[in-house]
Order: sequence, then structure tokens, then C-alpha cells
Amino acid sequence: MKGVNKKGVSPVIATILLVALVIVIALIIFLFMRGIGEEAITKFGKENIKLACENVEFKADYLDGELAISNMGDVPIFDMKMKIMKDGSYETKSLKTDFPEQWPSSGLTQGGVASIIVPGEAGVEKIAITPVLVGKSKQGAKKSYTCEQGLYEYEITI
Amino acid sequence: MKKHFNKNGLSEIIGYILLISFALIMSFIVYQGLVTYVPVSKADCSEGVSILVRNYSCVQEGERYILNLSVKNNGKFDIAGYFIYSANKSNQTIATLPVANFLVSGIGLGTGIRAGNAILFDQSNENSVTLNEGVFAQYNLTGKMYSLDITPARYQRDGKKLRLVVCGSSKISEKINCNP
Repeated sequence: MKGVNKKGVSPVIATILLVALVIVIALIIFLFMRGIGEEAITKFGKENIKLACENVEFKADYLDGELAISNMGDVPIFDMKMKIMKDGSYETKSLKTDFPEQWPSSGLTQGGVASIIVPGEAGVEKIAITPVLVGKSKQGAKKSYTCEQGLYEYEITI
Repeated sequence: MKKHFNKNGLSEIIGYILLISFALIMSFIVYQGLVTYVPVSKADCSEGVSILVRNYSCVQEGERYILNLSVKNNGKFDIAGYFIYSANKSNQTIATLPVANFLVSGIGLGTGIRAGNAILFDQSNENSVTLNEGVFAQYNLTGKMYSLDITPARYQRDGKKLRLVVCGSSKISEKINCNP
């Protein structure tokens, strides 16, 4: 019978392989998670902008085709996403982009009030607004962030 | 003949060094991911801030209305001023017209100073309206007014910075008769 070397790889080689494998897997997982994860946007120094959404305080009302929004808190509201619901469908508008003359250019600062004439008043059933804040990315660039709709959307039934 | 192998593998010290290095790297990565979720303490308005409209008068002059407004600090803290808006419809729940834009200044016309949409009562960054003190301001507006929304504001220290904070929970809404 032909002689076979039954010793396999040495413990040193095995350990090096093991460590190398762990590093490679860790690197793959890190790159994958970084790819799917959102980029952290911060506000007020190091605080994640998601936490700032919790401190947004505003009041809104709709009367005769006019939507009034009052910022009651100390977090400036950069923009608002507005959903106009009618006839079983809805359209989304940005108050900053679609109503630049009625929405303050620097956003709704503390104590600020804005009045928006909502187009197509007839048949409007509901209006839902969600605050959009502005923060800084890791690179220092300004980035806007829409607060989670499920948590911070404010609905007005007409 | 049997070949002689070193069966010791890595030394214990190298093993520990590797283990600790991995632990440090992993904890740094986790820290970087979670550090932004730690809430930062911010200046907010103290509870107990309160104001009331002591008296007002509204005089029509042609197409304009002169509003004389006296506000009293009846809370537990000094305030710096207030944000003021008026409603031009009787059933409006949020007043939207920034009254601060129509502040009239001059001798005998009050000590109010316009700062954006706020009216402050001192040039320096101080809460100058002390407890039980009344402050007066005059406004010259066009159009009718049915109510005033007044929200007090005060300076609060935010770390080393002094910030003007709005006291949203102390906002008052006052019906006024300025629509002859």
C-alpha cells in the first residue's frame, strides 16, 4: 500500500488561516452592512437627526383652502412633505419646493408660522404633513431628512 | 523516520493580544454606529413661564389699525419677549399674520424691539421682563384682527451658548375686538 502523509497542516498554518478567514468575513459583513445602512445625519452637534424628530413640536390647521402651520418647539422645520388625499388617491408635495413663496426660505424657525394655499380645494378629504429636518452628514455636508411618516405624520381631516 | 514538528502553535501571549485587539476593533465599530443615538441635552423653556394680555386698545385710522398692547409676565421666570401673530378670520385656530412686522417704535411707544417674528424688550441677550412686570408695544397694521396668538420666549443657556427658546406650551390665544 502506498504511504499517505496523515499529519495535515501544522497548527501555526491552521491558526493563520483561521484568523485570516475571520478578518475577511468581518470585512465582508462590515462592507455589506455599510452599504445597506443609511448614512448617519446629525443635528445639534452629535445627535442623530432621528432623535431630533422626537423634539419637533408643531400645530397645523386647515381652513377655507388655507393650511396654517405653527412651529411650537425649538427644532427648526426645514420643509414639510404634504400628502393631499382626495378621491381615493393622493399626491405628495414639498412645501419648500412647491410653495416657495409661502414657505419661508430658511424653513419654519422657532415660533414661526406659515400659511399655504392648498391647490384644488374641492374634494380634498385629508391632508397629512410630515416634517423634514436638515442636518449634517459625516463629511460635513448639509442633508435633509424626512421624519418617519408612521411616527411623525400629522393628519388633518377636512 | 518520523519528522519532528513544533506542536506548540501560537504562544498564549500572541493569542491574548489578538483577542484583545479584536475586542477593541469591534467595540470601536459598535461605538461609531451608536454614538449618534445618545440624546444631547438642549436648552428648552422652563415650565412655569406664563404671560397674559393685561389690556389692549384698537383704534382705526383710515384703513389702518393701531393696536396698543400691554402684556404682563405672570409666570415664575423672567422672559425676554414674545412671538405674536394675529388671525384675520373669526374661526381661525392658528393666527398666521406676523404682527411683529408692524411694530411701531419711538418715544412713548413702548420698549419693544423686533427680532425676526419676535418682540424682545432689551438689546442685550437678557430676560429683561421680570416677574409681574408689564411691557407695552404699539403696532400699526392693515386689515382686521379677531385674535392674537402670543408665545413667550426666553434666553436659556445651552452649554456655553445663550439661546432664545420659544415656550410653546405657554402660548396664549386672546380674542380681540379689532374689526370694526
